[in-house]
Amino acid sequence: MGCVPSTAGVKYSPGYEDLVKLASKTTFTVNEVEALYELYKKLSCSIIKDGLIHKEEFQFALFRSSNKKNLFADRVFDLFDIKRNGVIDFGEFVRSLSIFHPNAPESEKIAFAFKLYDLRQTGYIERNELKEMVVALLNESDLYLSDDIVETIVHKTFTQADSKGDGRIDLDEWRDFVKQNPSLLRNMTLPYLKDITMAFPSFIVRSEAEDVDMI
Amino acid sequence: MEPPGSSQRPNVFHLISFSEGFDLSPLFVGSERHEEGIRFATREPASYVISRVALDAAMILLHCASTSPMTCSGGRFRLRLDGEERGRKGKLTVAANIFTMAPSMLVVAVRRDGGDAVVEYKRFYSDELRPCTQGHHVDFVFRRPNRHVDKI
Repeated sequence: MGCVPSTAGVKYSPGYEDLVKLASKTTFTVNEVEALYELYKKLSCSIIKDGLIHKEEFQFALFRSSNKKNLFADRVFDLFDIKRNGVIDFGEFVRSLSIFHPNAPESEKIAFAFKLYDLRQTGYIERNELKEMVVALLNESDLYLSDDIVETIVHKTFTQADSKGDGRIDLDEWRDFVKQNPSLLRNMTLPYLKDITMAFPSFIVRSEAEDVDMI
Repeated sequence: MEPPGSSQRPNVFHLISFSEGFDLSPLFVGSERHEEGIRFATREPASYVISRVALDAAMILLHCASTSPMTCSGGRFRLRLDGEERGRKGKLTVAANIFTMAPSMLVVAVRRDGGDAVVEYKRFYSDELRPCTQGHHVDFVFRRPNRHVDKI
């Protein structure tokens, strides 16, 4: 059903990647990767029926609106699009979501968040990038704060994080900052991923080998 | 319930983390995002907000009996309000995080923390929480953009 054939079929969608191989490279079990494939099929066929997740389909999945612009969603999409070819294929989908699993290493979550906030990918979070993100959040929330207040709170945070005092936040400083403020990583964990096999049951009939956990 | 020394403030990365674009849960739960709760900013002192939220919650049908002691960590005040009766899925629990973002601005995030989402929390949300944020002590409400189905 839909534009992507089931894994039981011979033909696979353009974005398909071997499930067992993917499981071995991520925090997911094979069953979980199968469940993710069910989710992926749904997402990748919602607007452009080619079995790949386009930006509009990602936006539609998040906001129920295919043309809603959001800075943070853009960053997430770009980071999921590891090959930077404008679409998210299944392998990229699974690899990226793996970082959001409750059991994923914290170092991966820290690095992902850093890259997300590094808007122009310079390897540092610049002060103007931080301000840009705050302004984006305020716009998105329909909240107005005077420029004075925005400057004040950005300055306060920036000086806390920029321990070396060189005007930008590098990964080491970010890591230290997160250690002092662990709740900053809360977006980087999706508890739903633990129950993914219940939410998206797959209909593949497996032979003898049941849940083969690839560590 | 006096807020202990307000010298510790949360930071703008906390604020940024409220973005809908960074919240991937709709990929998994679809339309449940609107139940997350409400966020509003106010210039009232934390103690006023806390007592107000507690009071409003206490008036709801669930006969909110106990509020656990307020805990404070890193400039954030957390308040949990537990419904007394066991609802369909355990007692309804509402959590409120109160951030002191700036000398004259608090951000309060209220969300369901346990219990039934479909009936009880919805009732709490519409009958108690939303009217509370329309009161005079609330300056800004983080509005959820209207969810509309796009014409594709």
